[in-house]
Amino acid sequence: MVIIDNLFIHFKRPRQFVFAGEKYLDVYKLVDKSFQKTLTVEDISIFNIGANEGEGSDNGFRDVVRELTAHGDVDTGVILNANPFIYNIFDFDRIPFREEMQREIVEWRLRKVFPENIEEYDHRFFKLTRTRILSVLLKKGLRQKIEELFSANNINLTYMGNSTLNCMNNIVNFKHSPDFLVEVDRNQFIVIFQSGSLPFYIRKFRGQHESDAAAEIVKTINYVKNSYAQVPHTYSVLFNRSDLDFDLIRYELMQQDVRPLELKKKELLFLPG
Amino acid sequence: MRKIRYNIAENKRIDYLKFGLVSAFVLVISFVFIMLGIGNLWSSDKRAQDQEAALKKAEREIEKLTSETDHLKTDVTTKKSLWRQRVSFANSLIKEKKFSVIEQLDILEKHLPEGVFFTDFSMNIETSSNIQVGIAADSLHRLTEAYEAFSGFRKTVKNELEEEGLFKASLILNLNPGKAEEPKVAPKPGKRKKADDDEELRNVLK
Repeated sequence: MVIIDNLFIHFKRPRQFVFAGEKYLDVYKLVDKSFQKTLTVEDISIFNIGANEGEGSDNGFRDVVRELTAHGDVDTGVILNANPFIYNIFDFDRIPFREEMQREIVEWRLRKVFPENIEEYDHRFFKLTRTRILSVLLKKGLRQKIEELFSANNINLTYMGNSTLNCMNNIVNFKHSPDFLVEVDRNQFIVIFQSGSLPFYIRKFRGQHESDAAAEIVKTINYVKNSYAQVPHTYSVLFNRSDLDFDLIRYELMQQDVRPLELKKKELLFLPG
Repeated sequence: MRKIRYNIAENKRIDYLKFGLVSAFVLVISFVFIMLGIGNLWSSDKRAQDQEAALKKAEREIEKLTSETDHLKTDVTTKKSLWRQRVSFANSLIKEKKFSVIEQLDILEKHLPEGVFFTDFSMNIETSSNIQVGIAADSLHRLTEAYEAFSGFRKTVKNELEEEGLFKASLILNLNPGKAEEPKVAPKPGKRKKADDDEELRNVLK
């Protein structure tokens, strides 16, 4: 069924997106066949709009709504940063063919590492290889909140996605892809280790200072070296926004003999391809 | 890696154009494959028919060759049998010595009355069983006796003459033993007549 869906059912990509970052919202619109940022609203969290967080958030969102509806009823998408998501990569000896069975074994593995009630989460999983599955969790309440927010403002929300997965999708076809990606949104870091564009380890952490972030990345590199017998040599950093000075981090990575790899159009890699 | 399709919005908008294009592509590919399959089946069928025809032709050839072989075998058997018959007959002739010239001459000599002797003889046993003999007698009476003695040999007196007191004659005698009278030598039982043997020999040697 999934194969038929993947082959026949494709969804239209909206013509405008809202990127929900760490306490900011960016609006991207399709202008001359490419997406351009047309509005930024600071100090606003998409999950706190209308939740008595002060009028600032609501006013900011009104600007966003105004921007999104400036050209009438246009299909809109929301891209969330990595913060509300929980990622897990599971390796199995063999993955069953039937989707129900796949879900069963993934949830069985998930329950071992995830203490909360899975039923409260929107759980999607993706078969990466014959033996590897990526599991993505998002609180159902958050998803519902966003749906309601856009619906209340008469915005046709046809897409709700995730910047990390979009980045991973967009670098699949690159001729040279890094051994690991670092997606940075202010002090929120997510490091994705991959082998031949195939992710095998994902870690999310917060780095308040450059030194903390550098230490965490180096620690993660060493963990991957020890646990997966993979030695990363290249990395790419995708900034959504960063308040940190990345030079120190670059220097620390250089000390680990890991070099940066520049990617094309990296500013828009978080958008769905 | 296959791209991860992650869109958790409730109201996703299906791209019908893409759906139509993919469906059309799948239909076209399916149609092409079906046509290829039909074409392949048709050509296979034609190939099978050609092969069947070739097989039938080969079978006919084999039948023809088998028939010819049988015919030749029969011919060889017949000829072998005939040849065996001939050899057998020749052997029997050799064994029975049916036509001994010396024996015939001996018979002739025994028919000669006293006072009569041969002066010459010539024979060609291959062309006929006749023999030409010359006899001489010291009197006409003796010569007449000799004529009588050879009467059983279907004799023909070719010429007679008297010379130096001897009465000479040239006779053609037929050595066919069946016709000849053999007063002194009785024919052996079961012996075949020479004319019959000659006839059989001619038939066999044809």
